[in-house]
Amino acid sequence: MADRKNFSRYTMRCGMILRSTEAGRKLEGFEMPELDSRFFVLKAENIPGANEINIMGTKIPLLASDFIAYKGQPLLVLFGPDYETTELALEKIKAITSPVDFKEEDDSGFPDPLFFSWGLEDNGGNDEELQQMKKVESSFEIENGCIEAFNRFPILSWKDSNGTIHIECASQWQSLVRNSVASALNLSIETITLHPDKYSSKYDEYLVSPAFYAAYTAIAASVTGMPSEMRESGTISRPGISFHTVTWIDKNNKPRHEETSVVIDQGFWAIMGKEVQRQIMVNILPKYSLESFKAMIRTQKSSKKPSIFCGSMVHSASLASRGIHTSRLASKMELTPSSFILDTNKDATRFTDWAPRHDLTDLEEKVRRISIESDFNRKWSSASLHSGKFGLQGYLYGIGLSSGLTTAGFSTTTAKENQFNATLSYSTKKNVTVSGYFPQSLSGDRNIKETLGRTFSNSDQSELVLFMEGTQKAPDSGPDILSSYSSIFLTQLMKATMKLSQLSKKEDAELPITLRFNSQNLALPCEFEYSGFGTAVVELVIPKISLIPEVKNIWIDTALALPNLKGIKDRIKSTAMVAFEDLGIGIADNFNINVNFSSERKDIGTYSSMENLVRSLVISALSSALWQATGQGSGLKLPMGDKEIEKYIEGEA
Amino acid sequence: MYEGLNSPSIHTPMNLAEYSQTVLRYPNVQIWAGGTNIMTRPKAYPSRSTDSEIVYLKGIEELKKITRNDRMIEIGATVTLDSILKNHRNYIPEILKENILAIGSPLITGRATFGGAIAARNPMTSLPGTLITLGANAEVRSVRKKTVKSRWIPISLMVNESKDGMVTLPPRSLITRVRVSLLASDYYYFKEEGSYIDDPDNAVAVALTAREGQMDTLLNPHFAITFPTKGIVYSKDLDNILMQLHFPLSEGEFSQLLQIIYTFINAVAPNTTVLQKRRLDNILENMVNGINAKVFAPSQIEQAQNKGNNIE
Amino acid sequence: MKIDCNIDGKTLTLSLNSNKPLSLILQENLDNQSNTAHCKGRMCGLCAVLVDGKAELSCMVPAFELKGKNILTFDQFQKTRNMKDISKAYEVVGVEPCKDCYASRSIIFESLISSEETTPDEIKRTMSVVKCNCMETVDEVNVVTKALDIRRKRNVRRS
Repeated sequence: MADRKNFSRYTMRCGMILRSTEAGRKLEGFEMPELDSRFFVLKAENIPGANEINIMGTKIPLLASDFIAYKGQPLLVLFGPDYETTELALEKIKAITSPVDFKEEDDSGFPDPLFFSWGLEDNGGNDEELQQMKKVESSFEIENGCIEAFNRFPILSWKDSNGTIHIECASQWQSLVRNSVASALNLSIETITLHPDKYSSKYDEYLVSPAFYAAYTAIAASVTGMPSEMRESGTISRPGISFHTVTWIDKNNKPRHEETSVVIDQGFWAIMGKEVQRQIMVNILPKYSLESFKAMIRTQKSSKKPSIFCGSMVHSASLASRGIHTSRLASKMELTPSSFILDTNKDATRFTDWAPRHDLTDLEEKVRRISIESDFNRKWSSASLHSGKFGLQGYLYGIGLSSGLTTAGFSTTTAKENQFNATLSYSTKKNVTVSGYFPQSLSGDRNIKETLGRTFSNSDQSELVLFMEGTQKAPDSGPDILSSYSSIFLTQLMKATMKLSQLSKKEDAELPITLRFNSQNLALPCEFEYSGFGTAVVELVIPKISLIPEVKNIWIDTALALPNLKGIKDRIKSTAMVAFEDLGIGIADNFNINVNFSSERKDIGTYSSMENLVRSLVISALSSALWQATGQGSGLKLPMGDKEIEKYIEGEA
Repeated sequence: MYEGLNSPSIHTPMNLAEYSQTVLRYPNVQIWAGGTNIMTRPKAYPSRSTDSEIVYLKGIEELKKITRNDRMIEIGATVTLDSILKNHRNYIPEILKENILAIGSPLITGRATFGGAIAARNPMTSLPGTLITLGANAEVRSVRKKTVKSRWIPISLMVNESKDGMVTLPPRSLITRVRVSLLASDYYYFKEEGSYIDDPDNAVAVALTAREGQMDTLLNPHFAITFPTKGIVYSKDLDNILMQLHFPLSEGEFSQLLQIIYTFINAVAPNTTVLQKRRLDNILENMVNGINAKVFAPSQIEQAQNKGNNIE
Repeated sequence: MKIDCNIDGKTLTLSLNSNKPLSLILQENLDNQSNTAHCKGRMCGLCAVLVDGKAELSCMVPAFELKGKNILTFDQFQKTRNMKDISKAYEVVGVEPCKDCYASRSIIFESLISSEETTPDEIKRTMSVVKCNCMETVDEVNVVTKALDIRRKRNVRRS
């Protein structure tokens, strides 16, 4: 292997991407300046292998070859002697494009609409009955958007004397990186060596982009024979989703029939389109009893950047639409949302092909508790009295409540491909050492050590001296502690400790005893396992002068199938704060966040995607609060910043 | 190493005489004080336009000085905003203090200089507007064919002479000192809304200083509105109109005042955004309400405020 | 232009464009691990370094200003006793910045602690430069006060 340290900056090539400025056009060619031999231009036609990257079965071109699918699509990569020269040379390259008919009808690879209904036979065609009932309508839309990280990560590729391509980059999707590079270079996967880098990100989805960049740098390294580097930020794009829900309620204020239609805009390619539809369906099923229900989820094609996964976004948007509709129903019935939930929710959720039945009694208890804690009912009632107009206070006010279950979404389950392992040994000095390949953050956790100590000595008073050392090299990125792998690793470590304890107590035990295990991922990508539930209340104000919505208070109460790790409350807090940041919501000066976390360790072996849950809950509660503050009758659109609030006030006036 | 890009040579004059010589020798110099305005441009580096000479002012002793007596404070152009706040907190006018606090973290105000904050364009800071309301003057040093001319110019004149609302300096000149009177006013109002960095097109700042006159009027008011990408709106006529007002203003009188203010705004910055206007309307309403309240029952209000402060 | 400076304890002579920002020098020329922010003038506040002991945003420091300066980045700072005080304060207060802003926030905390700044308003104002929402302002104030406490005790013990 070529020694990484030998690289001199003078022999390195630095790459930069030319991106499209408009979508839906034909790429005719490029207007190129004169470039000397220090430059290497990578276009679609000089990719040695396949010009595609395969993300969960959806093939996306590495570089646009003929048709420009979306704004910001990579068109060309220029490698030069240093970043400055490359950037200045890149400014002179212009893409020549011509208009082309963008055919929306050609939606091969897009899933068929997903339907779900019940009770329609009894109610089918009985329109007259429906016409006599009250209709409660709500619509909610979350816009397609792209979030770019402020941080850049380096991606470096080089070719050694044996012809092996080495790639140094951060990605939790290691096989995606290797496969993409192998197919782009038309080489076998064995000739690609990946050196995972340490990098952290707020979203797993950020770490898909390195696969693209790794392919670019590997091609450059392979063609030029020089180490090639790029520094790019991770981006994620959020799918656009719009919901429209109508409920018919009878004279006794009882919901009877409901219809929901959802349109998803995942961009030019629908990655995991079917799963996205199911994720949404799980959350839009009403938890109150209805005679009949009908839902339709449709995915449409658009010339936007494809949303790569974003399980948590889909999950939270659908829960938010439920939250808003609940608030609408409650206000029509002159109830507060919390009493509506407590009065009308059934004991369990509905069983479907893709979602098991969940008990809701514990969740209701949490709703009850959080309403008392946040004084929700009083605040909600008083806010609904003067919503929609600026009162004497000089600000608009809204409060929202949401409750929900987390389904172990794909965002945090399939994202981690790291196979963690550990070696446990019990020494003659009666010390236990755990070493191996797992995130370092786990080894520093006092709670984990205490729990393991108790497991080993089988008593509350542990006298065990435990050394835990994670490998430096284990990629410590993304929401690590709460990832399925970390969770699975911990539960398996617990079992291994138990076994070690049994072995050490045997009379004929010969010290030291050593045990080794590889953590196995038993879960399938999108299984909707029971993994926790929670409630959230968000209090929001919109000051009259700035018109920027600001969160004043948040209460979050969650119960998850996670060990009570250090910093988990902190993680819940930051997930909530990041969700607000993404939607352009500010934080008020005297901001306060209350987190209540209980660990539900009854069903050991299941795992949680906590980020999904917390994100969903706060966005849902926030949307309800925004809906109340702005008094939007017809619908609500997120993200809602100062400009949108201004438009709304303009409309009111 | 970078063949495609020339590295600008850096001149670090140690005094103003050296500065003048450098400027005479190299006509196309880029003047660099704190660098905040230059470094935060999206295409700051690498850029072809920087293939020039840079004059770095931080070495010039004369520009670092602060002198103060009981009537005025004179601030050197390369004095940072943060150092004024830290070292002269109790002496500078309240409105100036509030303005610097609104600009942001000491990591930014610790680099941003007084001269830079006045001369910056696109987006400009809210500081020139505030300095205008304080009747501040700036010493401008112009270098012309071996003659160096130095004169004091009111900042309001620098804005109004250009007619586009931007602070405009004569060519090849430099702000060396700023003089702020400490006696000019005893009433002030300052408000900055919207982000000057992320969204300057929708941001706005309002500054007002005055002496409290008889019960219901403002004496010698100075009033400036800053739209960071569009310019500063300041006019003596507007000040005179404010002086003639009798507070409290009724709703009708307020909307009349608003109309008048907008005629001045349209002359300087006709393309303000809807959000900017909405923010400005609300700020002005807030400002007038404040004055109304003060006129109604100044002593009670003060008492209530004091009480509030004590509770805090 | 040739620039002599001291970065992370190493005396260096760098051959650089005179107006290259320090943040890019650290990333592109020195392969710094902790300084990765590149916000193109949006003032994200994630690139702080200690310049002669005072926190500065490295994207605002041009190369020519580095002459004779001592730069400490998080790469080296994380190995110091001073950082241990801060991480201990994180533990005591029960909060920790997210990985995106951990380096920058810790550097700015250090600057506040070393200047013995305890005014909550000043701490809030200083920290407002970090455009990452992961930490509450109340917690930021607590971290600074706690770390300052730890530092003082350590200094007393040492003397």
